[in-house]
Amino acid sequence: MLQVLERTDNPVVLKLNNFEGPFDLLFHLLEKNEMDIYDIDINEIADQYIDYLAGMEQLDLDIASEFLVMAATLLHIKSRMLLPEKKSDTEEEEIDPREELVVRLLEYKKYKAASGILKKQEELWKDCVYKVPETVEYKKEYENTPMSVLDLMTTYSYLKNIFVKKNNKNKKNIVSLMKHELYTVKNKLKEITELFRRKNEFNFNRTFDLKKRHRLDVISGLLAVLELAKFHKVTLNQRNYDEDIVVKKIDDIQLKELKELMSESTEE
Amino acid sequence: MPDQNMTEGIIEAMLFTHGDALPISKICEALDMDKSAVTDILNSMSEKYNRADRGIQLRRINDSYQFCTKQEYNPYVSKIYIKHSSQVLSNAAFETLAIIAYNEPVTRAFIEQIRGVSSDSSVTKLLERNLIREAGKMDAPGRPLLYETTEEFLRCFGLSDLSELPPVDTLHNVDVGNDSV
Repeated sequence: MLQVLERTDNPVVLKLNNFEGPFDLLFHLLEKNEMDIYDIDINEIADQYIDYLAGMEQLDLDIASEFLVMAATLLHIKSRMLLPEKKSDTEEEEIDPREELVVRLLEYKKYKAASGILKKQEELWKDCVYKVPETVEYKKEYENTPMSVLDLMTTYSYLKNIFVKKNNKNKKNIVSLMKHELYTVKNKLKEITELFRRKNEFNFNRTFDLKKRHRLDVISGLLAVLELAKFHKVTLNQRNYDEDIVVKKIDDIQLKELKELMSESTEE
Repeated sequence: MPDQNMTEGIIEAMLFTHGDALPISKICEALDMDKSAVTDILNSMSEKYNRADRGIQLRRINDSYQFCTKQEYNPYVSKIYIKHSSQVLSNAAFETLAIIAYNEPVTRAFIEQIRGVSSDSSVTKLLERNLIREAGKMDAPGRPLLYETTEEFLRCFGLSDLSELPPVDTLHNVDVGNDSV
């Protein structure tokens, strides 16, 4: 998008126009001059168009290359129209040099109109509220199959065999099993961020209760709170040693930003 | 088979439960009825919802149906909840969207040919808003990506399907004003 400051008679008053592209600017000029699209005075339009670009240059606005291409096209058409008509020997049909431009202008106008319609439609429908899709789990109905103990046993041993075979086949590919880290500072940061979406402060020991959570979970939680305090996202308050720590949000927490801050501080 | 009133009740319950746009095929499957019969019932339900004493309306989006609130009640609805309105689309994005909707699937080059300017940022914005999606690649040199509109597009612009867009040929006569800001 390009913004053009249009000078009016009064040099102090500037009109700001948004032009989506060279076609948009051309349309504006055509309308201003009340010119018929099928009979464009290319001489006049090309001059005005270039004046515009010159005006933009004076105002230190960047001119997108597309606008320059259009300027060149206009000049090209202008020069072709100035040249005396060549009486071609072969009876070729005369092509108006403006034709291609007009076709493209009309095509663009069509979609500009369509975009206006879409805009109105959106305005009309933006106030409708939809329900969030429900995640419903449906019960699956199982059929009762009569089965003897023997059937069960054979099925079991059959499945076990498959399982063992499969495992043995893959065994050589496994170097070692890595234990997944269950409680990470990153996860806790996420949890706390989500917590802060609902309220502005929480009590640390009540939220990260050792009776309810794993020790590593609480430690990760504490580390996360300390990280947040370090980056001035929260304040920590504890009146007495035996009292709970109140964690209070003082700044919006963006996980992405936090990650960057953390990686910066470890690099240091 | 349940009678008409009950069937409407069943469909209503299903639509409510699902929340998202419910494909008509699923309704047919659950009721063991054919598509035309279900369509008739849905149409009659839709008429009932259109009456002033109902706050919701039944919308068709392609081959799916979904409830939404009526826009005229929004002044009241908005008092009990905050809708995080997404950023307003730029004129450039609207133009790009119109070109895609009328010609889908299209390539970026096609859009730029009509608009006369680079449209990368508009396409990105529309993709972000889930109004358009990638629709495979064109079998041409460079295998350019194709784009088409999504269900979300129909939902946001109050269309049941793309055929509801005004025919492109009639657009010539629409007056195009330049929006001054």
